[in-house]
Amino acid sequence: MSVPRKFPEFSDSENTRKLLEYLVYHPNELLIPEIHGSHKISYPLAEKITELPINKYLIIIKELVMAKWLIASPYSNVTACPKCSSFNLSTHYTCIYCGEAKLTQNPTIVHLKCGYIGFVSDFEEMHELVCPNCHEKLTLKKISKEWIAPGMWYYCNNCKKFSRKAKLIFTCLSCGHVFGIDQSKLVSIYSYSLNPAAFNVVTEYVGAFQDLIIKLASEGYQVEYPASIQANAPMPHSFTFRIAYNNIDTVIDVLYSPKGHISEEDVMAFVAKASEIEIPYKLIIAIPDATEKAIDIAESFKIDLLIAPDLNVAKTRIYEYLNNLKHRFSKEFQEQESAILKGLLSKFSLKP
Amino acid sequence: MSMPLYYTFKIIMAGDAAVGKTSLVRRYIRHTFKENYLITIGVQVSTTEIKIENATIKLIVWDVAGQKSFQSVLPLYFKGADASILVFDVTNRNTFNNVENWLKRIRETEPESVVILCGNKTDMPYARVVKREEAEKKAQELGILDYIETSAKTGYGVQELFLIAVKRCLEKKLKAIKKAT
Repeated sequence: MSVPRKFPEFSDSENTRKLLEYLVYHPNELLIPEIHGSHKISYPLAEKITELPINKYLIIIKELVMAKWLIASPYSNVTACPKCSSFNLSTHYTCIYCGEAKLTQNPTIVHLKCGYIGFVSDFEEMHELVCPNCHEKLTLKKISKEWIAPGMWYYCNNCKKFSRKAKLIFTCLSCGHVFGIDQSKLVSIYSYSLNPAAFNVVTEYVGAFQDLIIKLASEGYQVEYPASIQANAPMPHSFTFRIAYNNIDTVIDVLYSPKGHISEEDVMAFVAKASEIEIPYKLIIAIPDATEKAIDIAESFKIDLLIAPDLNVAKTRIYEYLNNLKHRFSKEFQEQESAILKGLLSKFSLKP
Repeated sequence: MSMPLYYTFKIIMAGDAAVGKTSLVRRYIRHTFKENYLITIGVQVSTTEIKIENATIKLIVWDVAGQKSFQSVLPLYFKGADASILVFDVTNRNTFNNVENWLKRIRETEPESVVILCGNKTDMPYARVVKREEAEKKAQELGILDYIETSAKTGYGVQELFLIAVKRCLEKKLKAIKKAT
């Protein structure tokens, strides 16, 4: 899904910028939640970057999610009090018969023959199992027929009954409300990461490529950033850059994947638009990595794909790539290349 | 020692179904460097490298997978082809008659592509219906520089076919450099 290339109005643009700047330079980092005892879910990384209190940076995160610049991914969930929404709860199990919390849980034996139920420890007698009710020895031969060991059962020390299940009860430590699981409130909590579809607009917003653009411009490159190229399709195609040096024209897309690898679909999307424009050099920068298949597909379409673990390396890769192209088109290089090519061509033997 | 050179050339296989395009690719690229099936456009891409002195030439050979219609893969298939190997079956006149249509498609999408005409299945002389002279004449009429006869079955002419494609690509490259300087 594409994200409009326009900048929304943020309520705290300075801190929004700080947070985004950090995320574009640290593509592997997410805003991970931390649950606190009371009503709070905090994001320590956002707190560290913005130096703002929770309520303030949560507004920033919310605005960025609404702008589709951040993606919210379910991280976990937490039970909250239905009355005051506090997460500060104490949980305990109660007897399903009398509701008392005086339960003990242990491995249990049911002696089917006499109907006695008790913990294994009640049956143990000098390395043997003997029913404390009818005093019959429980042997392995008789298991399943005369006695069973159903696992961990609950024993209520109030009403003296055994049960397979117990009822989970929550007590809110903030307001004192007592409630069962069916009345509890489930709160989903999310982690946040940069939306890959918004990566270019975010890098533009924080001016992440400015230093590179200035450097290239000072060396005679013509840089269009972001680039919009009209092809045969009614809508122009967008690229991160179009960079030209004399007649050497290049389009570049900087792609980012929070999953860690640029996929073949990402490369095919580039191929689809790049095939409609007449620009000889096509480059994908994959942050932080690309799948084998993505690399193969790029190669099949003669698209250069360079991997950059982060944005700083991406800028270096772009600069080196362009410089290499520039060098290859230099008179010196081409004269040497021309001589080598002539030599190579003279060595071709084409007899079958 | 001369400086190292790296080139990547895209070579496409064109021609009617069952003329032996895939067999030619398989015969040439015995030790396939890499094979990649582009499922979205139904194309098998084989990659191989040849080294001549200090030059490394990577060949990316595109071949339609199975009997899939070319219509579905156009124009991505022809786009950016440095060389096109236009194959017909010397035992099947229809495939020879269709050479012109194929050439038209190639030149419409990639007019700069080097074209090599290839008459395949020469291992069946008893069934042959298109003579070498006739094919050479057609190549000349159509402005195709090279006509090569091959047998994917025996391997005859296959090496030569791909080498001439590489040679023509390098010549084109040299021409472009001369033009630029």
